[in-house]
Amino acid sequence: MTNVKKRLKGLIDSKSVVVIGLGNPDRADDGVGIEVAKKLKELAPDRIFLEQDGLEGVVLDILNRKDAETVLFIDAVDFGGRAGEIQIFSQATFSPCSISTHKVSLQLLSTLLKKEGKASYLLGIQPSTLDFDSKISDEVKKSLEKVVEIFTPFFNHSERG
Amino acid sequence: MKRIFIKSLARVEGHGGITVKIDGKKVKDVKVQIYEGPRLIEKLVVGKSPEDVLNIVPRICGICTLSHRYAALKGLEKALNIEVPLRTRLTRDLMLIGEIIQSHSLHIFFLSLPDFLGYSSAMDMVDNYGEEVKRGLAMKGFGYRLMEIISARIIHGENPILGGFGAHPSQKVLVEIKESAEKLVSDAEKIVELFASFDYPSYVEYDTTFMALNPPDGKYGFVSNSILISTDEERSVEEYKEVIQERVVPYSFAKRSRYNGEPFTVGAIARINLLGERLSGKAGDYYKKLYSKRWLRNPFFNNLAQAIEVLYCLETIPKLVDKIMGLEEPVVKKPFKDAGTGTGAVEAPRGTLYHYYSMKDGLITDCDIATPTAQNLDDIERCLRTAVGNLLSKGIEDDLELKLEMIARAYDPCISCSAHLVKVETSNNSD
Repeated sequence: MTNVKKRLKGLIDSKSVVVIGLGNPDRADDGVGIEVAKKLKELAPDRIFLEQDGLEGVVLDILNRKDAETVLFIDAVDFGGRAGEIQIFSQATFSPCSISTHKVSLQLLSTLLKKEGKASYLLGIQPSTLDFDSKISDEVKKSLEKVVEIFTPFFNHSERG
Repeated sequence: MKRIFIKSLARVEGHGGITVKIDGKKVKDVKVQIYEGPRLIEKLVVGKSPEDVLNIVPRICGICTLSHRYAALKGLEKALNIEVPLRTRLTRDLMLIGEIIQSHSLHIFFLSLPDFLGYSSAMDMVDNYGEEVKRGLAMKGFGYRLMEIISARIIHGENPILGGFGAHPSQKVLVEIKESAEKLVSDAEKIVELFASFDYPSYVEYDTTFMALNPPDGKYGFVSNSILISTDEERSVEEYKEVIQERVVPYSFAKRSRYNGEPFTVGAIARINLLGERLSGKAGDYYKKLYSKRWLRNPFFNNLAQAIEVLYCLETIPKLVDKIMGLEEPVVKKPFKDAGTGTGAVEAPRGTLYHYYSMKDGLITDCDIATPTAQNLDDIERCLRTAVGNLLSKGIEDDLELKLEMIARAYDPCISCSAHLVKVETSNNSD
């Protein structure tokens, strides 16, 4: 967690970060990205977004924003770690999944961001359960709280500043 | 005997493939297989209330979720003699337009455009066609926004209910939608012009029959109680089973349809071929400028038809919003009976969608749903057969798999959704 914390703080402190929470809140740990964004939203409504805000529109707006240099997507990611483990992935390592019927891929959005000189990262939290209509697991809940704790002072400061 | 086997024409909701058997220069057999197992939705809803049905049937499709909900509402309300007021009907039409914009935008910008620009995916287009990708995102995002505003969720929204809406969209969001639509018109024109600039190959051309709903008062649109057929026939949606003559085939889980024993096409190309003369505004201007008799024979024009429909939808939204805002917000209509039968139909993005319900004591006793992709499958097979035959007769055997996939994608079937991940296996087998 220490390394992740350092890297996360580095990302947050060095750039103008926009956070976008992704996932499906109906499927237990898959909703962790949305929950993080919901908890932070009030602190910086113009810097924290949820997938439900309309992912395509949010990213298009960021492309035109001079005060947004880095985008951090947060989502549950199965990278084979232990439940609740956090990893940060750079744009180059995003899965090259195709465009689905429901949403455009994260890779396409990050490629667009890169073209406009903006960096993008994915903060992935290893899920424990994706059961339908279940609560977020204890392990993932702890990581959720940790991420919120790391972000809160920055966005508090950011708003005051 | 040579066999071209596109094993996995995969999509998110299911899996399909294409097999073409060639003997020398002759096409011996063409099969489009849908591997996805039956989901038994029609049986699942038996014994359920109409309210339950409205939550179950949209799950048939994550793309056309609101088309299913709208067709189900029409069928159930007919069965229960519920007549919804004009504002409810117009708001439902607006909801459907949102779905058509998002679905068409996904197909033309992200699934089809890479084929015509020579890229393997939309991701590879970003460097040279970044504006087109952004336009596609904006258009698709707007469609979703409209769907969300009216149905209360981007996918599987539950605000449209029996007899009306849980809550009607506010004046503020209606104005937002109107203004956003007006801003996107010029982008839609650009995509029409881009698709009009492509040289669509003629090896796919063949004569077929088209079918679409016939909106009242000579207007273009997506909702009606009558079916228009390019043979100059018009039938009531209640007669749909007789018209589309569904059957099963042993090699595929999807049902097949024929009209008078022959394959037919539904979808944007059918709507433009049958109703295009009714278009007005810029969509009408482009129709007059671009339409030719080739549209009747070449499914690649379905891409251009979808682009024109996006433009039509964007031009229609402000008019619809003005009409809706001029009407009183109605209360939800309640049923006064608990038994009956009804067929509802709407034009989903990919074509005519039928929902039939029979009810007794307030519960469903029978249900039948006919989806557009299933109706198109026989014609896709016929087109593939025509194309391979024409190509072989000209000695063209290069990139046959890609050409076949492009044909399948042109119809915008659900199975085109992940077509860029298709795994191709070609083998020479002796039968």
